[in-house]
Amino acid sequence: MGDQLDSTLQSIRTDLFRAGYLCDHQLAGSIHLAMKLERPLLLEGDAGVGKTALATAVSEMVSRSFIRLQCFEGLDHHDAVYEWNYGRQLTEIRLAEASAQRVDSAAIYSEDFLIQKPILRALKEQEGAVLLIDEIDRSDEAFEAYLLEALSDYQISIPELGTVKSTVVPIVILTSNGTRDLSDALRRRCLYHYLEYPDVSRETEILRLKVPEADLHLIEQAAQFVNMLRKEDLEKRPGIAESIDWLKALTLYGLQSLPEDPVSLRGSLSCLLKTARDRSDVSDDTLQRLFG
Amino acid sequence: MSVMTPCSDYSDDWNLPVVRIAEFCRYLRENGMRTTTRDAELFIEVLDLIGNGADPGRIEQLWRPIACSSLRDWKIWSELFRLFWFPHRVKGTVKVTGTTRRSRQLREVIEQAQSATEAGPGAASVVGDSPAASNQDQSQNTTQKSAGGASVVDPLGRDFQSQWLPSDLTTLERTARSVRAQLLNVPTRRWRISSRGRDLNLRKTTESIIRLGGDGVIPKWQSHRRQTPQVVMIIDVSRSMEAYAGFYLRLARAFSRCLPVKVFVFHVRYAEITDLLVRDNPQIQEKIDAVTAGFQGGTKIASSLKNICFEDNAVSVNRRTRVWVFSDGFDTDEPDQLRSVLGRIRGRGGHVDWFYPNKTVAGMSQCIQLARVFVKNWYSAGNLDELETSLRQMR
Repeated sequence: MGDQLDSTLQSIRTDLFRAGYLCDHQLAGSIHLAMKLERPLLLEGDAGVGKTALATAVSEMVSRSFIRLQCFEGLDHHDAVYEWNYGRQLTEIRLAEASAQRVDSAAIYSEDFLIQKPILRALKEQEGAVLLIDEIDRSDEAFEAYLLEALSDYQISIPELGTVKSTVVPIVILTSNGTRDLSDALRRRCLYHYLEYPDVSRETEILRLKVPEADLHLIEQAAQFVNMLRKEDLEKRPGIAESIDWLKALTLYGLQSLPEDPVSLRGSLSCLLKTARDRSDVSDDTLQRLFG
Repeated sequence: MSVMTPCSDYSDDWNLPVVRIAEFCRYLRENGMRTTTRDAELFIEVLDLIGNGADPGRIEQLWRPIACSSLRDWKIWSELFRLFWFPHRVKGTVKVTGTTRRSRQLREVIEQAQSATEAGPGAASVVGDSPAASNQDQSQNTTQKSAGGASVVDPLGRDFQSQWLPSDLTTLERTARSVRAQLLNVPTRRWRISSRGRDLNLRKTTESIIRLGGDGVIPKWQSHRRQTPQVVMIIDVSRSMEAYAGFYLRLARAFSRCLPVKVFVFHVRYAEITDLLVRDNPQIQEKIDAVTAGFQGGTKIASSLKNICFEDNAVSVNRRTRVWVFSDGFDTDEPDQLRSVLGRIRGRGGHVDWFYPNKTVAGMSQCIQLARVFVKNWYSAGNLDELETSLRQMR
């Protein structure tokens, strides 16, 4: 049985690799549990560690449609769950009036006049879906409370229609960058996984996967450099996405390894250092030190 | 990415009676994790998934996403797992980071943090402690360093350590409740669409008219967006704050009973004590008294703030965050480090309010002078009367 689990986890890793995502056993285990236990998976971690990318890779892995809900301040159920198509309802009423028919209010508030937004679409997807609720911490607490029903029972209550329950439970992945604390109620309903920055060897693998045209020596040096840069006291530490961008920039320069004089690369560091303070804090001396 | 625990770390005599899972859940709860009965059920479900003879390393991996709900949980999980299931494998050097058993933890948390890095009073360098006010102040610097920051000010009007009565806690709670009214649900200048709003949002309403072809209108109402700040109380419990820390901890307790606050104590390290303070039993006051005993020298304000707000993600700093620092400002970090950290908090939109027991802000340490610009409000809080006056002015 344990061997079977190992092979399952290994196959998740392999499938995700094929989808362009490198994950370790722990993360594979979390994904496996999310699918088996039908619980949402809450991913936390710094920006750029691959939270959103994981959701797209999972959807590719399970061959389900990918539905994304980008959260923002002021997001409400009209944007996230459903909205009535008032224009069409009005047209229907006008047509009924023109033909001297009685307007059936039940027909007006039927599914034909319902505009499905991401969460409802995910619940009603016949083949099942992967629902990414991205940056949940950006939404208001009221919306977070509204989500609880959807995430615990995979159902939505629409007053005019009743309760809509999912036919196939979607795989739900929530991401948070920690801009505000999420409620305990939401956390309790989710499995939790914290994504950390990868170590040098893993980042090397990721960079090889994402920028195959780059020279291997350059990839190793870049991974080493970014790893050391993250240990500096930076406002915004570079994520994996930044590493990939930087490596692409270096490849565009035609480099096969990092130059002796790192100062010549200062221009390309805009791919890694995203705030003015970080750019000024990483001096030429710091660069020399990091380049070893 | 997370670190996978090597399976070979565990012995072959792994034995997992299901009844012990309940004990394990209780153990996790005692260590600050919010494990529920449902989690225990999920643990068992996972065991069913894996089957008998499962590798403990694998179980540790699979239980982790179920049991954890925060970064702190995530970090301490592996050690807790080992401590519970494989205590014989725990060497003397292994210790659980973060909070330990809740029921008897408050003093231990402080003492653990104090003993971990301090060699004794004055052992740490006092880099940021040099006062910036005047030469006269400079001449007193040596005395201040040895005596601690706040303890060189005039004696308090009231001796908090000996005269604390239940009525004082009542006073503090009354003060906290009045502050709550000032802080909670503060209307901002921004608007939000709300069905209970009393103002019409013209843009949205007009949009609805256009959408309906002029045949109808869906009025969109709006109200001012209300903001509930997230209060983070960070209390200096170093030696120089010996006379005041007990008072501030009582204040924290009063606030924690009526406001959503997070409370941390620090000197050279920090510890979160929020969960302890919300408990309401007679012993908690004794524990709070115990916390203030036996302080040692050395204070790292900047490092502690940085760890709380950024490194450990103990709090999420955003524009709703109100960081209340209770300290005399004597810091052993580099003088400009505090400025840097407070600047980062401001950069994320957080507000820093500083409660000080000293006579004046101008007489406080060099690091405070450098960081002054990033502190929104300075509140004198040398005694209860001053504090009440300060909190009344709070906005």
